[in-house]
Amino acid sequence: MNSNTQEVMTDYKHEAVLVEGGLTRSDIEEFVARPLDTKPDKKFLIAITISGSMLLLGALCVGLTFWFGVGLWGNNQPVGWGFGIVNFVYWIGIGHAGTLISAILFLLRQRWRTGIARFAEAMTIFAVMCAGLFPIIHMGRPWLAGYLLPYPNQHALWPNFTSPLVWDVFAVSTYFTVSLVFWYIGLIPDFASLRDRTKTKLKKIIYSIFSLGWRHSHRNWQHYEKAYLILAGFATPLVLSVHTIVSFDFAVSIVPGWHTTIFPPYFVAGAVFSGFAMVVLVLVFVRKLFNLEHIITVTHLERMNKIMMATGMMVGYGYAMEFFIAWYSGNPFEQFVFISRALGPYAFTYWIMISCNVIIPQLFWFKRFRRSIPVMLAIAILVNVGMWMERFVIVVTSLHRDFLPSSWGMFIPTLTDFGILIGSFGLFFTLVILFTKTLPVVSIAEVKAVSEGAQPSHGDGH
Amino acid sequence: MERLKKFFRFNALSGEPVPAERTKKLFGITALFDTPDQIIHAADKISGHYKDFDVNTPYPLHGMDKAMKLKPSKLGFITLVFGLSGTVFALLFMGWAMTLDYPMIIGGKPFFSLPAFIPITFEVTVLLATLSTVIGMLTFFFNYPENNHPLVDTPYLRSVSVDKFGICIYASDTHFDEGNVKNLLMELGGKNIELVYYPQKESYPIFEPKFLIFLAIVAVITSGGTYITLNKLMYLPPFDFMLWQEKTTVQSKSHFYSDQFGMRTPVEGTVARGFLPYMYSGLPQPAQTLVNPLLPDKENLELGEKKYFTFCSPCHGNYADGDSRLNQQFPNPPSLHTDRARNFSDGMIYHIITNGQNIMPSYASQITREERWAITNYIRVLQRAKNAKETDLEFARRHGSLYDKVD
Amino acid sequence: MKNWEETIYPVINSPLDFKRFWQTSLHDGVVFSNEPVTSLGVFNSASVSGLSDRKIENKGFIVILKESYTLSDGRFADNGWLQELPHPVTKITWDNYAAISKDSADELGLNNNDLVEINVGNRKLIIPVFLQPGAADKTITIELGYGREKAGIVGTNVGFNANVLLSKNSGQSPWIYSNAEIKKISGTYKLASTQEHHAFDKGLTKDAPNRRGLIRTGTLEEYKKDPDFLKSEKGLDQPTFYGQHLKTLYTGTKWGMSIDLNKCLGCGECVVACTSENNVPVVGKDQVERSREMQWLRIDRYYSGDYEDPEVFNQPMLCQHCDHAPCENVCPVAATTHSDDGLNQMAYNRCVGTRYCSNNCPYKVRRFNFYDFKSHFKDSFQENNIFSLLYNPEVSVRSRGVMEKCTFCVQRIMDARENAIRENKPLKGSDVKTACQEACNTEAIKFGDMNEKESESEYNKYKNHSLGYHMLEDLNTRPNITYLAKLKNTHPEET
Repeated sequence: MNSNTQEVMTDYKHEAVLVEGGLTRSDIEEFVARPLDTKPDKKFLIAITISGSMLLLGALCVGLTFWFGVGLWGNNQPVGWGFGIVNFVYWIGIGHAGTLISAILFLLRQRWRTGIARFAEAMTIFAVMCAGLFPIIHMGRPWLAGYLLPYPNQHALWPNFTSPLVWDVFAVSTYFTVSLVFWYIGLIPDFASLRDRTKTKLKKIIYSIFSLGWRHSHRNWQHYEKAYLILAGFATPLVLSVHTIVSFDFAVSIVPGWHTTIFPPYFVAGAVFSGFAMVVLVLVFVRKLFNLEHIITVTHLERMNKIMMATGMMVGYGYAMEFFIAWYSGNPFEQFVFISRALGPYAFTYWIMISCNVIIPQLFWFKRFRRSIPVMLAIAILVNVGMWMERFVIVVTSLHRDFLPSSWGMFIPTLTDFGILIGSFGLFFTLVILFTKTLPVVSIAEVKAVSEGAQPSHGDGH
Repeated sequence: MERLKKFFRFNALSGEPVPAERTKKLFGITALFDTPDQIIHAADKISGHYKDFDVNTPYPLHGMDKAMKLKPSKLGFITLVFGLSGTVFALLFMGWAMTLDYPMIIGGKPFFSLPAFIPITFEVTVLLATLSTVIGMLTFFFNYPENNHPLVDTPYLRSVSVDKFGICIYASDTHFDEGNVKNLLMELGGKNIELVYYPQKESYPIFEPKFLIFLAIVAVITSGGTYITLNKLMYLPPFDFMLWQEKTTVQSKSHFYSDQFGMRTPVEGTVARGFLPYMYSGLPQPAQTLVNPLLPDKENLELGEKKYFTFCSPCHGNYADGDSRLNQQFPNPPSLHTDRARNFSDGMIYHIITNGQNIMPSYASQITREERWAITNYIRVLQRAKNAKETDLEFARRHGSLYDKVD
Repeated sequence: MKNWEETIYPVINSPLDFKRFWQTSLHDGVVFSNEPVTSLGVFNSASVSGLSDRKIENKGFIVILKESYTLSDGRFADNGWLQELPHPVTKITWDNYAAISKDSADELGLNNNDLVEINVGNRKLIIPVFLQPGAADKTITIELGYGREKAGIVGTNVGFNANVLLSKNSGQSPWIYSNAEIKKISGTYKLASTQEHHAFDKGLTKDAPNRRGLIRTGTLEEYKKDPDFLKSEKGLDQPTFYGQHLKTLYTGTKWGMSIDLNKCLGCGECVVACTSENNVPVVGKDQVERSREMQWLRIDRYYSGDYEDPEVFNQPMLCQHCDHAPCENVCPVAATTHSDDGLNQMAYNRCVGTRYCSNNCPYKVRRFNFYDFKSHFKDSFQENNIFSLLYNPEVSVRSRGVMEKCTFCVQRIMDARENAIRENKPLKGSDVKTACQEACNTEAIKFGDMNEKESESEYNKYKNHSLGYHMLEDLNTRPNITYLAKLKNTHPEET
């Protein structure tokens, strides 16, 4: 089968087959909906035990932090932000791949997105949920988190709308809401399909409620498509703006190494980069475990790898530009920060970052590596590590040696820090695993729409 | 175990789904098609004859809008209206909150700083635009979700859900005739042509008593839990609102001292810095004559006047005549224009204010030493005023009021 | 009092009666007796002549024992404020150490925090070393007063007891011992310092304070030639997007401070005064190791020059109360704003503890309560009944999760303002004395109202002084603390 698809790939006159193996539309539905009907098997239980225990560890560490205080973490003066914010930016970044696949690739008419869109969007929502926890738990007094919301209160005070953290509140909550709504809209026809094939009353009731009485009527499809287009059109600037606003947390400050205008595009590119790495990482497992190899094909993964490499090079450009501007500006503080990143006490994180983000993805120039599952899995993991290190480098190395040498200090993460990091992964993977068992991981209606012979042949067949 | 299971069974939620009962009222006629080309062609033809019909497809087909002769969707207008109103609202609200309602100097920036308001404005615009699109789509254009639609739970819809395409022509159409419709559908290649009837109204068996009790319990637990969490739990450790401070403030309890007084009086005989105790306390008159250190200039006399009115006039009267409301009550506060009072030295008046005399208490704790001397000066002024000499009048006539000249 | 009446009063020929004499003595605190002053002896200059011939036998190291700068002979070991006051030169808290020069340390293969065994005669001590720039070779200096075993909650088992090295038959001095053997032993001991150890010798960071314009110095000659020699380095009037807004804001009182680096000795009294005035918690050694010390005011010590003969600069660093405060812009809940009289305010009850403000402060003067420090340290002794009486009732006691920093003693400003209102007089800048200003021996700190006429305000004279500069001016933070550049009166041609 592989050799066939390889031949098709080199023939650029015809569009590649998006659903392989000659699957019919009912086959697609069968494949995707089957995991929802079966009881959890051993593999599922093992997976959820592992991720559940990671989650419990994280919950314990968060509980300890609430009880004793942020002192349990490694933060200090001058490094006021440590793992908490690194993880926050990391998880928000991961969420961006989903929206890019759903919205931006939709606007760019890339039909191959259909196989992966549902899963990627779900990952966005879970990643944003993970990310949204961190601003709350890293606060000194998290029980007063409500002060950041603009509601009329007894203090008669409003939050400070000029602060980037308040912009974050609006941006992340808008992003979460819009992603959730967008994802849900995509799920409505699938809920209807599930409703019509389910055999248990409880499930029928649940699916009926969530499908909102969808009956596949074309009069509804017309408005539905318009809404989908509008949402995709808004989600695109939204995803760009969200990570831009997250980058403003740094760019708006005066800390050397943070105060640079390259940050918004650099962060957005980095987010897409790390997000795609996570999507590739998870999909490699999901397609194997759920027998979806013909729907989520190697071609899909190959295209994602291409995007990964492209955004990786944008990130590399960002690094180079930061460095150049530091030198060109002649600002002694800025210059010092960059030299200290490469040669100072945290140099090992800097070089891990460079090798994982800039050097290793260059392997994807070679088609052999692009289409090889073990290679792309390894690179995806390394890119994830590298991107986490990048956020660490940005946050910690800039803070630990800034303007006054008298206030320089080292940041040493504690076990609680690591526990919470592991817990965030636990939360994410638990949600992903639960998602695979309760909702269709592939957007059934969309994949049907791009399978062979799905659209009328005459007129506008694009 | 079995009994426990049985107790928690909700009949409405278990078992196989049972399709709704149908009435005899005809809703419409449905037909299924196999390929997209067939249904496009069919829709095109049918739209020429009938208005009340619908096409059901598992995914949207390109070209169906034209075939059904549908007008383009107006959903975009809702998006535009709400999106723009989001922009305006966000800007106006932030502007009002930061400039009028509670302006604060933050970093020296102007109160209305547009660049800082842009990110939030953008986000609110996107949020309102998208939410309004979806809600508008569901409410306005879909006419609200309806699970009781006649097409739901039909074999027709089940096939459409998987991979077939279907057309349903409604009986409400003006040109509807059962025979004609069936013929047309067969001509166009439709299969499984069926009649669909309206379903019976459901009785919502989900609201059985067990479920309602369950809902009530959930409501109580949720509201009670919220109340306890927000009003009681949030004030226990480790949540700290700095309401209780360990320091010992004025009139606070101290757990260190056995009498629990936080405020302590100094040890007897303590001498304060800058303040030596009055030497002649308790004595009938100062042993040495005290000398008034203050000159009766305008500032001091004004101070004296103010303090006199505050402290002395309630008893001694506004002009020291002893004609306050305490007059004629035993014991009378005396007039200060008696010979005795006029012959007091300044120091004696000071001593009386400090020490008290007879029923008059000591005013040492209320009037500072400087103020006492100022009052003394003022009393002397009053006494002189009531006992003026001819020469005083002449002086005033010649020089005018002293105070007019003095700056 | 009876003792005074019977024994002291008769001796002193006081014109007052006893009662008045007693009260004035209590008030003044000092009584001058009329004992004759013993005359000074005549200095025997011949005693100096033989000194250079006297040689001290030394085949190893010389150990110098001195009393602790903060704890004296150890009597203050139970005082948390003094234990946490960093040593003026090494900035080390909560411990003593053996200060050694770099060359001698290199010979022995020692790094900071390494443990050594010091043998003097038959007495020995194990103590960590600290490489001290500018120390003489082959010399070890150790502070006494540490290592007490029964010194209350705070002081017990803090540091190393160097008294074991003392000897009754010490020859020249009980505090100087020669022929000491230093041996490196395995193990390290972490010394908690509030400034990084290594900031001196790495190439990148050499002379950073001078290159970055943090410490401005000159010589007396330069100043005499041209009093405005610093002017080219000033950059206060930079263009701003904020236009006229800033000029409309501070028309009334505007508080400011000036610190004369020529007068500052780096003694640290201001630090302790601020700590006691403002209920600043003591955090303990392990938290200082983690760079979480809570002192609002710190003395920064910078070296420049070379390791053997460095120049040292001290600079008190506190909240600069910037007009364009970077911290205020980024607080999400507006917990830190600016007052109408130029103070950067901190509202503890609004702070949710995101710590963005401390990240954005270029001077890093904001302190975060990572734990509830008053209950975190040592059996929460700062919370118990006795120590709670220490707290200044006019200042809030902060709990965990809130940010705090120098407030220009706003409680004293409010007090002075209330007095002025009560006495119906205008508030003068000189009415307010901040705690650090009051404590400073050399009057290096001046505080006042910069909108007053210069003739009436001593502070204003310092503010407009030609030697005055601001820290990190080109960041456009517009700080309200003026530092007066340090002039050195070096005569290199004479040495």
